[in-house]
Amino acid sequence: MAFSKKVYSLIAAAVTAAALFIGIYICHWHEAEPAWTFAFYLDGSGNLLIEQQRNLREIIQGSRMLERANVVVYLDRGTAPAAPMIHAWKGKRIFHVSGTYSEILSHPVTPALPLSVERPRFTGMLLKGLAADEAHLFERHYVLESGRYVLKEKGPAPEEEQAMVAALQKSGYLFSEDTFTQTVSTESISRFFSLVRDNYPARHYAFFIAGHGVGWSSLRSMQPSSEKAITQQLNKSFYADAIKKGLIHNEPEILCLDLCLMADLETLYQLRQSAAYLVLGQGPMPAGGQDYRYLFQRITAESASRPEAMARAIFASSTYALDKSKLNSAITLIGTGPGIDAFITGFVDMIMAEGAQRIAELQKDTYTRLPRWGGQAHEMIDLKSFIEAVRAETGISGPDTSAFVLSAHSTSKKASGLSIYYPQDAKTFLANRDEYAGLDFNEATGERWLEILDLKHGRGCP
Amino acid sequence: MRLLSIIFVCTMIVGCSSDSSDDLAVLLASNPGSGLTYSSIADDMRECAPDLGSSAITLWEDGDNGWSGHVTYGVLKKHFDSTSGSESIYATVLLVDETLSAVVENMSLSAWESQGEWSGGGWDVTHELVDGNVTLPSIFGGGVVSDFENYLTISGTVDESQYDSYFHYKQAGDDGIEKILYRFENAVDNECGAIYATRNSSTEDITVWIASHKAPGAIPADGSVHENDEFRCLLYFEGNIEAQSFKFKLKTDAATGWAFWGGGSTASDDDYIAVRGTDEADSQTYANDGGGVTDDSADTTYVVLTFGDMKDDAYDGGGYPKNGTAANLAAETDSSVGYIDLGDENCLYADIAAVQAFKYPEEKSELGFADN
Repeated sequence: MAFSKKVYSLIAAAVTAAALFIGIYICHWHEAEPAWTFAFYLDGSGNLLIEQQRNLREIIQGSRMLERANVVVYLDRGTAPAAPMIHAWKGKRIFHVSGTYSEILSHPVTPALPLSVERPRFTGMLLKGLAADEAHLFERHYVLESGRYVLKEKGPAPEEEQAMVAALQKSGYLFSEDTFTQTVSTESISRFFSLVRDNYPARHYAFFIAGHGVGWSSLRSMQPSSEKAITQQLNKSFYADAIKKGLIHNEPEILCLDLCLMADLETLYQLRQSAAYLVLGQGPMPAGGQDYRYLFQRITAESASRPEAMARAIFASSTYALDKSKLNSAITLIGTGPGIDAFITGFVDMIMAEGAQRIAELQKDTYTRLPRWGGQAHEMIDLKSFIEAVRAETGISGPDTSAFVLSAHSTSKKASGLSIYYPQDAKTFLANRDEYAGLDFNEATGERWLEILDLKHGRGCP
Repeated sequence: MRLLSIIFVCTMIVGCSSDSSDDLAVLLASNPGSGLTYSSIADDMRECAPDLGSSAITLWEDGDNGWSGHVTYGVLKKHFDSTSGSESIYATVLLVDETLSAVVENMSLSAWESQGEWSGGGWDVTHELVDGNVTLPSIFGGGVVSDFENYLTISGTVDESQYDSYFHYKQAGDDGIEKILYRFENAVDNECGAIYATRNSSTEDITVWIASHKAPGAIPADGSVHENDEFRCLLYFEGNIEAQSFKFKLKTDAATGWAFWGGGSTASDDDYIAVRGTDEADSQTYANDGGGVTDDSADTTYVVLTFGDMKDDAYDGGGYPKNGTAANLAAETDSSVGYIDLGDENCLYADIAAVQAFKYPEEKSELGFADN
């Protein structure tokens, strides 16, 4: 063999060996990194406390067989009325689910420096709001590795660490014992899911929020509970914009909202960039959300799966819980891809083709109004019934939801999976109009739907 | 056959490939628990009876009649919603479920099989294996149960209040009948409660007695103004999990005495439920004499509706509520009326005297606690 051929052969062998080595290294690196992080944000500060305590227990029990995954839970017990619980506490606590029930509850997660922060979050969130000297401390003690700013092994001195934690608490990035924050707030949502992403990284994230829900409207967010004579508690409800803002820079692949009344067109459009997949309930959901033990059975079977398969497993678990509860409602699995924008284009085209005036004059009885499930449910109509009514009246084929509705499951004759705002009462509409006008959906439709609502309630063209 | 409610779960570790041995070690270290789990009584009740509970239903708007299923403070909503607070038929049971499941799941198998004391998670627990007669609280009739097997006392500080609980238990053995007697007291809040429940794993029948007493001292004199935050209640519930049917009767000190009874099925939205009652069950507030309840009169009103109607906001009431007269009841066509017709085999009351004899606990001693 010629000398040059020998050299080429040696180089080729070296390159092959290096590739194999890198391949093995990458393979091991991927094996070391959990495939999924599941994070649960449970609001028990109102009348769902007992149900949320139970959810925590179900999550701990259900996740025992889960491998290569992180499970993190936030539970707000509010003022903690008589709801006995081991390791009782007031207010919020965060738990990394690893160990027995008792061990987990006796070791809540405490605010600390993030172990590592994704690059865009480091610059776009963590450093934001810090003074220059504080930011400098972070830049000094974190090093960029594979797209994440990692806390250096030789960490800051104790007094520096204290100053850094204090700076993050002051800026609102970290939870602080000294500052009360409502669980239903952008700030608290953001803090929790930041903590999750900073300390429990994985290839994929699935976030769950459980509590009260009211869709896109913040106006009904604060309501007293039903108890009249015995106790009076204030229930605060999640709404679309608070969730959207709380998830900026923290977007998971899957967002499951175990909240009532979230599957409406306005809410899903508001949340279209918050996750790749949304699991939403159109009507009432079981009091405590879903059966989390059953959820983990489904999740465990899919633990190595790609996001869509995992989203379908979570959706199946949600529908199981709905069926078991015997409630009349519907649950929808949304894929937040370009299909939503295509639908909006078709939706606007339909209105333009027929004219807002004509649609506003269509016989309102042909639309299926949602039952008085609470919140503003009775101010909503079923989207499918609306499109079908317009189609029957005008012959226009109208837009198709199948491009983004991956699956829907209904136990109600009046709900097929998605709603749209269509209030009957002018007074209610006027009270909500300003907020509605500020929704992303209104902007995306060029205010066409709002124009219909204005015409319907005698406001004429704005 | 239904699983026993407290079951010993053998955690089975399935085969793992060699490169997951580290994960296996972590799994074993982090899950050394006994595998004891507790099956919720409230869930069993909710298998049989409606639970209108949801995170939205609390916001339902006022309607124009107090029986309406969608009215915020409506009768149906008040009793058949897990989130309605103390007046829900599930409220006390949910509290008991919460404590028992947390305690049982923190017990080791050996602790369950032997007597002793242990502390964990903020609770101090003593465990005795019992063999002998246990007398039920007088509010439950004072009968004797001779086959309880376990007795636990559970003490701890919860939310700055001292909770003391007393739990007798019989597993569903050869006879398939599980028995639970649970009493708890929170002296700081002047609150105590008791539950006696049985579950038959063969027939799928459940029975639940529930008594609540929240008051700082003796019951006020007859005719007194109602005291805020005080609450006294007695509830008896029967259900069949397989048939998804139920019947119940309850009496509380709300209004001028609150009596409410009935039953039905939740197997499908087309199945019927019948309920009857009054908010003037007593001759005067706190009299607890049932003097306001008569048969064949307008003293009580009732509703017969399907499970689907109960959840449907558009349901117009179908002409209900109606007065509880013999003529009205006789004219009902659905057999569910039997649940509210005194003397019917499905009704838990044989006659008006039985209604009047069903009284809420006036003193804590009726639940087995010393009076203040």
